[in-house]
Amino acid sequence: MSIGKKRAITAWCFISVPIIYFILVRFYPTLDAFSISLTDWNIVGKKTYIGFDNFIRLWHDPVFWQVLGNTFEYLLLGVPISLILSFIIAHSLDQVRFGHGFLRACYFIPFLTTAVAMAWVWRWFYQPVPVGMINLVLGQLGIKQLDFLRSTTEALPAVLAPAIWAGLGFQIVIFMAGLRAIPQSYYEAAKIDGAGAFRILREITLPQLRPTIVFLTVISSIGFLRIFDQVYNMTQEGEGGPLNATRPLVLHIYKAAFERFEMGMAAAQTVVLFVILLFITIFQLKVLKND
Amino acid sequence: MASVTLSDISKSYGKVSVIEHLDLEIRDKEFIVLVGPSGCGKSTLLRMIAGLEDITAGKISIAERMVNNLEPRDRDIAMVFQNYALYPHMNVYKNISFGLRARKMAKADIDTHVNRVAEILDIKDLLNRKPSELSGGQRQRVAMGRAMVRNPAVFLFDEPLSNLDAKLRASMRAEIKKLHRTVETTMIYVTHDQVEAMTLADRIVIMDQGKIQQIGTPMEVYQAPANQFVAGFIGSPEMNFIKSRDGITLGIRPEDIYLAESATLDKGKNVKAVVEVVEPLGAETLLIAFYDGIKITAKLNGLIDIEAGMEVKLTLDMSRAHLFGKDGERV
Ligand SMILES: Nc1ncnc2c1ncn2[C@@H]1O[C@H](COP(=O)(O)OP(=O)(O)OP(=O)(O)O)[C@@H](O)[C@H]1O
Ligand SMILES: [Mg+2]
Repeated sequence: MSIGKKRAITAWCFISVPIIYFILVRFYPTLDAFSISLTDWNIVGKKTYIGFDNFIRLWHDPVFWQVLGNTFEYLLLGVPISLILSFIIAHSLDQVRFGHGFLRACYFIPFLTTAVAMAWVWRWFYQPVPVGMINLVLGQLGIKQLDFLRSTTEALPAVLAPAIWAGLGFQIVIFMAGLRAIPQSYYEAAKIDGAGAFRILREITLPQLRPTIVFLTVISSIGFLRIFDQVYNMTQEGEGGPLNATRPLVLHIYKAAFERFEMGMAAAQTVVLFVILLFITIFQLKVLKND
Repeated sequence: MASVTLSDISKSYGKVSVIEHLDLEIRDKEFIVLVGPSGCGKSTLLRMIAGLEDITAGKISIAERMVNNLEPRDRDIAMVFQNYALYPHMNVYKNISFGLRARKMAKADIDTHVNRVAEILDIKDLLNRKPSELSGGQRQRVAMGRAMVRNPAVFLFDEPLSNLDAKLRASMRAEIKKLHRTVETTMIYVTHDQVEAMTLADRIVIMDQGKIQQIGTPMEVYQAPANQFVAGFIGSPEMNFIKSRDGITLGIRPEDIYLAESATLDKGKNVKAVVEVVEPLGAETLLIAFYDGIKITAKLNGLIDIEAGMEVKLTLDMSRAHLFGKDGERV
């Protein structure tokens, strides 16, 4: 056997493990979901084929549209806010020497904390006075008290905030790695050329960070489209309320599947989510990667 | 148009002192080359002039104006980096015009300036390319174009040719020389290649361990090295050093040694030596021989019929010998 062949076989031995894993645990259920979405099935009984009935029902269901709207609200608020915040923090951290490691750790710890614990702490923050810290501070500053999780308009941002915060550490670390990879001499040349801080940011730093930004946009978009933990743990009975105001698609799927046991319906929504994820990811890769 | 004055400059990184009490006066329109072995502080000095590095103590003036606390962009300088530092995501036009755009020049004027520079450097056809689509020599030109386009008062070069092959280096060297005559601007050029130093410089500054060893024209440093370090550093192959018993060291360049049979010198000193290596270079032949346990390199004209192991009689031209005291200084 030639050396090349031996190497290829060794490589395939290693690669085959994740491939088998992906086929069994990822691809097969995904494909299965497609077929289940065309049936009526209560998880124990017999599957009855009903064609596209599930999708038609979804189309006419106002709650589904509200949930879809919520999901996109998480996406459209979460991605830009988290990226801008993490970039600003990473960029500032990159400049400081003193306490650098400590500060970075502070930002990274939320990423390592369990969502459940964090959600409950935030839930407590959001309480009315005298329990809730945030309202306490607002009161002392003479600002109007907020309802947060109990308001249909304020609840979604209130749930989103800890979700953004939790992911920030990861994004900061990735941004910092990207910033570190930019050769110092570009900045020096730009400084000598007379560029101010803003021009350096716009014409050197951001274009150089493009691959990092693409990566983080895609990853965090997927993350916000699949938001679940925070909503489940922060809203009353994990309902995604009040009045479905915070309910995202994944929670909706969960409710359909494991509370009402409408597996066909849940699968149909999974297919919708899958298609959305697929298109958004492809779109982002296309748009952001082009020069 | 500017002179550059460094007075009593020191630089240290924490406890490590890199440059100590350095004085240097660079005249307007002068081509100054800083040479010295690796780590002697050449780049550090250049970067302090550029404003990329703080100075620990002392004073830097450009065009009679103290610049210690001025940002690089306010010093009216341009710099060519060893790795060129071209912005990879911008095409050549954007790279060259970056400094002009940063200074908010009008589009039409930018166009004129970029085209003028592209003309001089012969890169007009490359303006739409990205740096990754250029050869090393072309990148080098673009880097020079970026520096030239602003008409700075002082040009700084940090080993700009060290990434090029020997042939390209020679031709770029000639172009930089020509450029200096055209733009008539003060140029400070760092290199560790003594051929570049000798051919380009109006005056050479030879540095070692953060101190200036000698400043002078190429001929001065070649013909009258101030100390043993300079004598050994300038010239290739290196000067021969022969220690005498009284602590004085005699220095003689390989090109000042002849075969006794063919030499007619007034002040010749004859020595018998055993040939170790013969290196025919074509126009000349290098002879490495041992005399009294001392290695002597001689550079002889033409091809010579001598083989390793033979004993030869060499004549040292004592009228061109250099003498150095115990402390290494010229006597
Ligand atoms: N940021 C730094 N921190 C500590 N020491 C430094 C730093 N930068 C440079 N030095 C030290 O300063 C000395 C001079 O460095 P410099 O880069 O000026 O050398 P150089 O003469 O340009 O050498 P080369 O020919 O190799 O480029 C070196 O001993 C180097 O180790
Ligand atoms: Mg250097």
